[in-house]
Amino acid sequence: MSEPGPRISRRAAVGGTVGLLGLAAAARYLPELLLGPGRAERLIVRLVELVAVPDPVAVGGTFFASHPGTTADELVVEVLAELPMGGTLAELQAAFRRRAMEDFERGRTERLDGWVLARSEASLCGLVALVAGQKSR
Amino acid sequence: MLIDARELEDGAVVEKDLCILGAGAAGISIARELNGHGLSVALLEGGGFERSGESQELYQGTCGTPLIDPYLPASRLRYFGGTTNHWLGYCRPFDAIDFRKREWVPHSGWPIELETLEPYYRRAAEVCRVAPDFDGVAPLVPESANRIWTFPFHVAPLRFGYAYRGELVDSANVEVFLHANALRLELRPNGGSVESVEVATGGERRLRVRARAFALALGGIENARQLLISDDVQPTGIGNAHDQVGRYFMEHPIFPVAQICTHHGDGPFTDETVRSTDTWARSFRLSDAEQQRSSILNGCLSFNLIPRVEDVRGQLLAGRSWRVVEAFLAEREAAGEAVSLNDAEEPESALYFTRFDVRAEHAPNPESRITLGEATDRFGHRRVRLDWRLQAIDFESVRRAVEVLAEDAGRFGWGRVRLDPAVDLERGYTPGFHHMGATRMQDDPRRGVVDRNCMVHGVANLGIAGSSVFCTSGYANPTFTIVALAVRLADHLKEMLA
Repeated sequence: MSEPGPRISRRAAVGGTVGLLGLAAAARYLPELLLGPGRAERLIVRLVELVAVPDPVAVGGTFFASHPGTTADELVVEVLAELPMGGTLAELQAAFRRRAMEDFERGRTERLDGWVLARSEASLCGLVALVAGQKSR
Repeated sequence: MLIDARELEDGAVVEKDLCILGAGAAGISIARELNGHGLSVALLEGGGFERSGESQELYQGTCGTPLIDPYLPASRLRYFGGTTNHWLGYCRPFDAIDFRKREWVPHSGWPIELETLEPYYRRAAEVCRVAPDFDGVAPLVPESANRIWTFPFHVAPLRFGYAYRGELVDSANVEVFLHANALRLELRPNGGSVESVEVATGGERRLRVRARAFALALGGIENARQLLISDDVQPTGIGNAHDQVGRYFMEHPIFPVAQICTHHGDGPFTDETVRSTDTWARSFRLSDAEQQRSSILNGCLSFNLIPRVEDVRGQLLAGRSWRVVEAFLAEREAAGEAVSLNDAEEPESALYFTRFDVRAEHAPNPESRITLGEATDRFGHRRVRLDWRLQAIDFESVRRAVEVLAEDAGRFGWGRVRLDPAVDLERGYTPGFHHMGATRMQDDPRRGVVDRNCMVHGVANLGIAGSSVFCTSGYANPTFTIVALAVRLADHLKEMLA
């Protein structure tokens, strides 16, 4: 195998822009939400990078073909409601991994753009596509 | 001894105990087994020691969709050593399940079992110059024992023509005839045995080889053609009283339709574990139990090198509305369930992303067949017409194999699998250049062409060597099994002629 070339960090690629956008988003919502800037984005980026697909935004864009009318609120609940919110991000990530494996174990899978994903992963990708404004019509 | 048949006089007659037609992997293997024994042997090769366009042209024919010309002349080589001259060298016995009658696979089942061939596989390993250790089939992970297995191929692209030329040319009892084009087998009037083979040696000159026994080793396609064009005594061709010759033609369709994406260090699909070397290649397949459970065929999954993925998320999250996520977090935070984002600066893992191929078993299908076309070659014999046909089970098996891998990849955290939705499975495959099944082995002459000893039903002294006798195709490259069966046929012929 050849040596890898210069790397562009996936997290940096996603998070860098998200951070800038997060500031704008935070400026808009901070007074009412009492959140630090970019927290939501950072959390979702950290979760979505656990999903082993090369382009979760594009993959998530196909979610709505099989789930028309699904709202962002519904997806947030689907992705986050059963995860432990009282701990660290590492714990949250571990819980998300476990849940994805359980989805597979129980046959709760979704096929998005050919990728066979856990239902929780599919919902997360759908959420990411939605907030990224790339939902398929 | 080496004889250039072009230098023989027209009408010459050669008499031998055994005449082997074809000097590829099968023919050379039989000749080697008889080298040094008391029997006289003629080994006939239509080409020379090197590739020539004139010889190769005789492999022209027609083939229907999905094959396209020049499949017939490109997928085989017509000179000493045969198609081993471009063989990749992958050696592996067929699996036990390949030999069994499987209720969910129509026309499956050989009259022999793997155990019958095992001693010959060991001898084939010597011929192919690979270690005879073919264990190593194991569950991919213990938890997936009933689902996915992994196994190695030995890789040894031996060129039989170069490797064994000297041995056979120096033989005291084997005569190698080059440029000796077998035209047709000539039966005795009662049709019960072959008396001779008519051979074209160049131009209009003809040679006739008489022998006590004959071994047809012309290749997976030409074996069937030779029987069909030898129609002097039996109008439908030799061994074809029940219209079986040419049917059940099988290939190894290759489906490059799936992808896998993994995090570095997750699961068994890393560059270290799937990497092939010059002498060894690892593959994967569904377990026997899973094949039965899903009612599908055998097949193997092969991965190429997995490149690092560096910028696959170049598509950025141009977030416009994080409000719902923020609202959710704020709500939880107000309830005292804050998530700390500051203590999770663990290094992110690289993604690996690759395509993988499914080399599929091809279900036996009587409508997938070799017949004679209308066009003729320069000797006036009809060329081959090949109609390769797959069925629903062939495609469903590939789809299910990918699904099982996808399911277990998810269950065990190995990564995620994609079956490309843009690819039509029924169009998205290529041939593996393996030709099998057209003179299949069956005890019942109504269902096959040769018996369990590879002797043609109803023709006492004619054996067939090569992948044309395969009843099922498995996924393993055929050469290793061709050699094992050829060695076994050689034993049978020695006993018969003793």
